[in-house]
Order: sequence, then C-alpha cells, then structure tokens
Amino acid sequence: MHQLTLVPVVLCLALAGGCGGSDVRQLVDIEQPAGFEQTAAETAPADNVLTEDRAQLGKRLFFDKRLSRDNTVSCGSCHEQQHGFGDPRAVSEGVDRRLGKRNAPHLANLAWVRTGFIWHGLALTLEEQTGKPIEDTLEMDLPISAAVARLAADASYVRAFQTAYGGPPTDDALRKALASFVRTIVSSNSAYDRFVKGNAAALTESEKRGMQLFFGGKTGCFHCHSESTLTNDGFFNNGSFIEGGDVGRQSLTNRTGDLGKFRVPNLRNVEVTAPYMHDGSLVNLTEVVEQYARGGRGHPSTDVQIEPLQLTALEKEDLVAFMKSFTDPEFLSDARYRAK
Amino acid sequence: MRIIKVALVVITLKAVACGADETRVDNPEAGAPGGAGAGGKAGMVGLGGQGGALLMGPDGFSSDCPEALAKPPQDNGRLGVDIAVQLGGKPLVFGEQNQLEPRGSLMPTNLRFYLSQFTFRKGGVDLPSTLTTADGSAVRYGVHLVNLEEAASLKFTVSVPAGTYESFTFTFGLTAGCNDTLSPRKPPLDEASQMKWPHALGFLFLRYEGKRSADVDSKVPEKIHMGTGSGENKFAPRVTVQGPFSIANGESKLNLAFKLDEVLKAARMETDLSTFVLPEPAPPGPIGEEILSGERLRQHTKDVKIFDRLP
Repeated sequence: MHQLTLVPVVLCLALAGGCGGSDVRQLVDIEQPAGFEQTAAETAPADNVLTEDRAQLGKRLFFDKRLSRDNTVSCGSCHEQQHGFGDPRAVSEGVDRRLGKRNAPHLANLAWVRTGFIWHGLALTLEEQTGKPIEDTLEMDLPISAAVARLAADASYVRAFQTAYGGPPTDDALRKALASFVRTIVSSNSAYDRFVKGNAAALTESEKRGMQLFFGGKTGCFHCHSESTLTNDGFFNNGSFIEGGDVGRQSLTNRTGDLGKFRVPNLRNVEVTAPYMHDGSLVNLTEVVEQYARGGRGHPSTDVQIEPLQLTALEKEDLVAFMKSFTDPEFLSDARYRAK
Repeated sequence: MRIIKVALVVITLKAVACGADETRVDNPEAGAPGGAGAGGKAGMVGLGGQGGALLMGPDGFSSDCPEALAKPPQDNGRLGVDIAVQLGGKPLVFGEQNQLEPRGSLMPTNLRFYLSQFTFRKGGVDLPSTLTTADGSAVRYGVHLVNLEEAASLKFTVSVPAGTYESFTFTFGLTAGCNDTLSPRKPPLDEASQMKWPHALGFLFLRYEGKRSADVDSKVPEKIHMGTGSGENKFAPRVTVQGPFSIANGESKLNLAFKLDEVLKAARMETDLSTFVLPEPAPPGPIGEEILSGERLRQHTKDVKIFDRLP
C-alpha cells in the first residue's frame, strides 16, 4: 500500500524535474546583469515590494485574456517570450483585430527604467504602465474596474490577491501584480554579458570588432546605448520620424524640440525583437544599420547626433554581429516565464 | 588582442581607482579633513573635525566618492541656489527656438551638467560645504546634476556655516574620485544620467545638444561633450563666483545665471588640440567634434563667465 502511494509521488517529482531544471527556480530568483547597480527587487517601490506571490499572480494576469473586453487578447498576446517579450508584427492587433499605432516594445530589464515607460514616456512607473494597455481602446479595451470585477468573480483569483496583497482584487493590486511580474523579466546571460563578466572568449572576432565600432566615435551608438543597460533611458529623435508621422514625446510636452522623440530601448535580445523602431518599419538589423548609416530618413527634426556614417560592408556586418551577441537563449526559453 | 588589452587596462584603471595611485596627505595644513566628506585642496579648512589623514586624488580632492555623506550641522546656514539658464541675457526656453545674436536661432534639445565640491571663501580660506536635499541631508555622492528636462534640477541647496563670504568656488563637473565609471553607482552617477562614457573613461561633465537655424554661423557647435581631458591638466574646471554673500542661519537665496552663449563661445575658442587624445582604453577611430568642442570648453571655462550672480 505504501509502495502504491509512493509511485505517483515519485512520478510527480520526476515529471516536475523533467519539465526543466529551471522550474525549481522562482521568478524572483533573478541574476543581476553585470554592471547594474541595483537588483531588480531593489528597484521595486516601497509599496510594492517584490515577492514570489506577487510575481506569480502578475504572471497569471499577464497571460489571462479575460483582461480584454472580448476575452481574446492578453498582455502575452503581444509580448511573446520567444521574441524577447516583443511582438513580431509591426503593430499589434487588439480586440476586434484593431491595429495599434506603434510596435509593441519588448519587456526585458524594464525594472531598471527610471525615466518613463511606453514609447513616449506616458507612464512614469511600471505600476502606472501596466494598466494602460488594458484600458487602451486599440489594445484590450476594458475599463480597469470591469477587469477587477471579472477577477473578483473568480475564487482562485480572490485567494491569490489575498495572499499577495492581503485583500480582494483592486485596480491598485492588479497593476502592482502585473508590474511585479514584469520586474522579474530579466535578461542577463547573453554572450555580451559573459564577455563583460570577464570571459574574453565569449565574443567572436567579428563581434569584438563590432563592439569597438559600437562604443567608439565612428558610430557613436554608445551615446544612447550605454555599456551596461544598453540604453541611456532617454528620449531622442533617431531619424525614424517622417513628416506627418507619430510625434512621440511632443504629444506629452508640447515642445518643438521633442518632435519625433521616442524612448531609447535597451537592446537586450535585439536579434529576435524585430521589427524595429517605434513604428516597426525596419524588418531586420541590417536595415537598422543602413538607416543609421544614411543618417536617418532625413527629417530636419532628427537629433544632431544622427549623421551619415562612413561604414564599410564589413563594418556593417560586424555591427550586426555584435548586436546579435545581446541574444540570451536561456532567457528566451526560460520555463519560469511560460504560461501555465 | 585589442579587446584583451582593453580588459587589462580596465583592470589596471580599477586598481588605480582603488588606491594604487593615491596620494596620502598627512600634513593637516596641506589638506585639512573635509567636513561631511567634502575633501579639500591645500589651504582648505575642515568643518567636521574628522581628523586624521585624507586620501587625496590626483586633482587634490578626496580620491573616494562615498554615496552617503554626513548630514551637516543643523545650525549651519543654507544657501538655496536657483539657476537661470540664459542665452544673450534672456531666459533660455528649452526645446524651443531661442534668438541668437547677431542672427538666427538656437533650439537646445539636451543640456545637463554636474556641479560638486562647493567651497566658500572667508578671510582667504576656503571652507568646504555640503550639497543638501530639501530635508537638510547631504545629497548622494555630494554631486548635483542639472538637467534642463527636469525643472526641479535647476534648484539646489548648499549648507555652510552662517556668515559673510567673499566668494564661492565649485567644480563644474566631477572630481577625479567620483569620475569613475567602473563601479556601478546610483543616480546621478548612473547610465540614465546620459553622462556616462564607455570604456571606463568616466563621465561627461557637461552634455549639450541643440540645433542652430541655417543662418547661424556654422562654427557655433551643435554638440558639446565635455569630459576629462588629456595630459596633466585634465580635470573638471573649478569656477569661482565673486560675492560678497551673506548667509544667514535660515535659508538665504541666490540666483545664479548659467550663460549658454558663454559655453558656446568657449567651445569654439582657438585651442591647440593637436596632442589631445582620449586616455586608454579609448577605442581607435576618430574623436568626435563634440568631444573636441568639449575640450575647448574645459580649457577655456576660465576665460569666459558661464556662471554669474544675478541681482
């Protein structure tokens, strides 16, 4: 009898182990990327301390289509793990197949963003940001209050919110839980990371030449994509703006000089986050390098730092090779981030 | 091979930053203990009475850059400084067209700079002071970042014993001790400051980007990135603002002009840059015009009047 009881227990344990060794790690077991001053948990605000319960609740919400008006779209519909939590479509499809206006940004390492989220910096905190797509009529089109009502009707959610936040589902707790999950989406083990940590063999010769170009005066990529975070957290007009296009940050500030400025994304897993730019107009990294080499699309609002680059074909290849060294295969297949 | 060399140089620089090249000043008269971690040059009088030796960096200030500094005495006076950024004597409107003499216009899209190491002169002696937050605590690292995208950054407070001072002097940038990008640090010494250079070259002291209209002299720079220089005189400029300043026990106020036209003037002054190089481990390749303009500014800050007391 004892032996019969043990069989399913052993089987369960074996299956759990067989689903991937990483399953034993929790979402909050995050490796800090090299050169970062704080851990992801340390970036969390005092009123939303990062815990496993909160991150797990946020993950469940992230993949729950009930947060959209017609139950067809979840956060995960437009932020796919295999694409670095980005969207391979130029613009995403929301409810009723409505098309958005911008390419869905990837979500890796947002814990360290200090200056605002969404392409033009509309939301100042992750907690503020996570509610925006739910209410956006082109995305999930559901009032937060309606989302909370749906969650409150599900006993398992009520229990999970109670455990994580000590009360029933609320607007505030919903945003906080989603923010907690996003804070755990951390990429830190690319070839470039390993090189930064001291493994000189982690990069190929081509990637190393590309790195010299990237961080050197000939291209000046580093002016916006700094060494550790791969972004300076700023808003710049990188030459993608065209007359009559999305005005970007100017819609918030009304400043003439903010025309066509968008957030500088970090380049984590940039190889798999195509298409590129705020409008998803460039389909691969070669096109990205070519656009910068031309000095952008030529609009006079383009930042003064964007100038035509004199690059050889080999140098362009090296730059692309270096950017591909930001790919973190472990992150892209990490079972902890998968929907149950 | 080159990459390995870079890595080795970085390691070497780290060793230097950690004290291998520090100068110990044991003579209290040569470099008095800085109150609240202020460090100090020769002739500076300490406030905190910490006593003992101070490890000095090559620029004469503390080689260290501690995050937390001691809270200054509560009975100190406080000088609240409001920076007024000007162009041609008129308030500069960030992100908009500003008229430039004798013709044309200028639209700044990025302007930020560090201020640190304030000292106040009384009776020929420089007293260290402490940059503080609104609650009177010392600001992190003793460094303030002015960033025109954040209006609040145009205000800061300095804590100093009440009294009347002949002048005050500050570092227009960072000391050598804080100008270290090898150690991950919190704001304002992080990557979001937009001031961090790659390759362990330290931080920019000032970053300016702006567009000039087509009718403006093409010598007026559109990009100025001022950081460390090369050779012996490579540190951030020290700037003195003449007083007298009466600082009461409560909070006194000072309006300080920052004249962008003087920055633009210094950044295009005749300067011999034939020997200018970025320190190792800078990558090979051209040095950008923005860096050369920054180096002209660094060398000629003393020849113009960027900061000026306003009535």
